[in-house]
Amino acid sequence: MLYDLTKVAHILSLFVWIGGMVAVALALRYPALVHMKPLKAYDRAVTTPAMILALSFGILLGVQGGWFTSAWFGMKILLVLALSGLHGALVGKLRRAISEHPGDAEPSGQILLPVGLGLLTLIVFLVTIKP
Amino acid sequence: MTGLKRAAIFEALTLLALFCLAMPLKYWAEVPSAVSIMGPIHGLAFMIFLWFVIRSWAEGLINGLGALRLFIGAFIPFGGFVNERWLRRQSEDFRCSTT
Repeated sequence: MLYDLTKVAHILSLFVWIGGMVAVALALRYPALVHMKPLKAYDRAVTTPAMILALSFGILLGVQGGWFTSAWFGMKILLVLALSGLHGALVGKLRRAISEHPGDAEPSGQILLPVGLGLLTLIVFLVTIKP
Repeated sequence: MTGLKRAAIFEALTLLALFCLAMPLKYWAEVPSAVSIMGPIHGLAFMIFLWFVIRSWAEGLINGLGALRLFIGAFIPFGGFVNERWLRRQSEDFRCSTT
């Protein structure tokens, strides 16, 4: 039961985290200062805490399931590190865009969204198949 | 840069707790649960620290070399405290250059 509840919390926080990341990537691609500043506040208040919760619940699931010795789980940790790094890069670019050149489209905004979705696909594949 | 400094300190403290508290407890006092508890906590602290490093790099607060320095420092006991002092100097320099 505790495992299932942890899984629910992990998946919910993951949805919020990924939703926030997609919003930031789109804001960088189609910039509008009127959206960027509230998005920065939203990321600080909601998306980043959701990321920390998703990581925490993910680690708890790994402990409860005894998966820290599994190869697929190690691979998943690396992919999650890359995904959280991508989120960090998106937020950093958003903050820089607001302070330095609001209104200019960020060229990397085009590539970061598909990269994030690719990472997410691999993570979901690993968790579902557990090879 | 405040978040990055705090994350560096938090990461350094969890690494020290892992090396100086949990591992001796596991190998000398036969309390393996100490590492089972401290290991995931340090893992989370490391992930959060890495997130702050990449965010600060993307924001232009530190350069690529600085990010690499912080990353390497995170693997060395007490390296996090050296990182924090370096970050403090960086933010003072940044403040001086903007005023």
